Amino acid sequence: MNKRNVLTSIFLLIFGFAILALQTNKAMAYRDPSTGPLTNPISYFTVSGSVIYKLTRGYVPAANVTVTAKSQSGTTYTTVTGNDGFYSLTVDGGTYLVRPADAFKSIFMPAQRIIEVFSNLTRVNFVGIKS
Amino acid sequence: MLTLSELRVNATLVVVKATAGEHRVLERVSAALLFLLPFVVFPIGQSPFEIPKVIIFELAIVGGMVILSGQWTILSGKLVKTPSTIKALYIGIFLLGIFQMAFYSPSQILFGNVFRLQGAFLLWCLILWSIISTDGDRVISRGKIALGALGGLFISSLLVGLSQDGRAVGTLGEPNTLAATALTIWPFVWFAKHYEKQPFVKLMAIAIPVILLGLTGSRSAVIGLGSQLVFVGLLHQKISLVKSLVIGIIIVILSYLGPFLMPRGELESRPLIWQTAVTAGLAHPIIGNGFGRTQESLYKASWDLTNALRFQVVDSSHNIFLDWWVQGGLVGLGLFTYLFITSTKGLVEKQMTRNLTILLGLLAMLSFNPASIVTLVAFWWILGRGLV
Repeated sequence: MNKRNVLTSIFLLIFGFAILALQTNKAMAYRDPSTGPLTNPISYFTVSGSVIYKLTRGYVPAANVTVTAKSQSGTTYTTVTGNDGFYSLTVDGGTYLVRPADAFKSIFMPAQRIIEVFSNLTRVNFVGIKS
Repeated sequence: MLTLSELRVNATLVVVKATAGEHRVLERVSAALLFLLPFVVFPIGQSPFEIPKVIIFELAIVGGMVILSGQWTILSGKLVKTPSTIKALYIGIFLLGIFQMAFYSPSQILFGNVFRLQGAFLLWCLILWSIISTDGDRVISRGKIALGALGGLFISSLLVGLSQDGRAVGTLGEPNTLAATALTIWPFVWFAKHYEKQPFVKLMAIAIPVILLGLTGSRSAVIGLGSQLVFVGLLHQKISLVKSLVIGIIIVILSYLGPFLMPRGELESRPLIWQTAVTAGLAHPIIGNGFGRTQESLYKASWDLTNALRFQVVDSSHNIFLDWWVQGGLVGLGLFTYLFITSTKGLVEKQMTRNLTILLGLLAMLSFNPASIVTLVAFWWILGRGLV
């Protein structure tokens, strides 16, 4: 083994293992089991419906009502109804608890709905009674 | 004084005479990384399935280079045999990574993200792997270790727990990676001369991947295995190698239509990710967003497009060509594509039917899924067979 080969070996040893050590250190320093990359493409679906208020003399669309869909794993999707009372959420497949809430702390019926999302869902509706 | 051509001849002669034992060692190391790496699992880092495999692979390459630099004969022999064009492409990819460090975080370019560690350093190791790795009749082509690996994949798929959606992951951690590994290994058994007259073993070589396809639920693996079987079947019918390969590639290309033609909600997120990846690449179309920065690039693009990927952690374009587009821009994608095409031509010229079968399966899997270290090791090994 000549001098050039020895020097090349030493250089590769120091350089290569230094980078490897830094990389391993970085990998081991980060450990958060609650997050992870998407490894299998998931499908997204829309969940839509309307929220209305029940008044003495009929019904009116409920605008600016916050509709929240929370999955079993804790993922939360939120949107707000428009002036026509309609809302639409884009969520990934699974089971969700959908719950409306407004600034007036109105009572909604049902208070929450459990839905299973494996295709687009419409008419996930709520009727509110203003307090 | 010796001329360059005389030096080259001398180096080649030294390789032929002096390194038979060294080649045997290289074959064993190559076999270990091809067939045993998939089973490495250790609880370090974010993914016990991916991180330790990356570290062991890089350790093997760095350590191997240290040893080989002292054993100049093998390295010089391989470099002498590598065409200048290919050397230029390899150097181009290396320099692209160096150049990107001037614009992005060097640490991120070098090491990639914490889930896969697929940065420039791993890429350089893969390039070196494609040069120094080897095929051989003693261990790799003999088929025994490949058959054992197939059996191991099957057993691991039963022993290791399932993914959240009930799909087998084995020691690879992801269902599609498990299926891809099976598609990579079965041709080693099928084409082994040792098993030429053992129909039961050949049947097992195909049955195990088929079973794993069922356990993993991998649709892209169905496409991959289908294209492989069509290729092998056509060859058996004495159709020419080129025609058979073209038909196999056409099957893979036609399968790209699948995600767009399926009913909305079935596979819609692949076109969504692909669209996001195209947008991400357009942000820096010449030199790309940097090796190892796919996750950040896709996240930013998903906000530009205001699509549903904003709410998920996506660190791959789910297509190897789009990954190179996002990370390396036109320069990177061009270099990679040229390497891929040149290697495929080399495999055809050398009539390497087994390696072409493996390449078809890998092409299908890498067209729809993130690249794991195991599939990358197999992929760059195949590239090396066609290039070096």
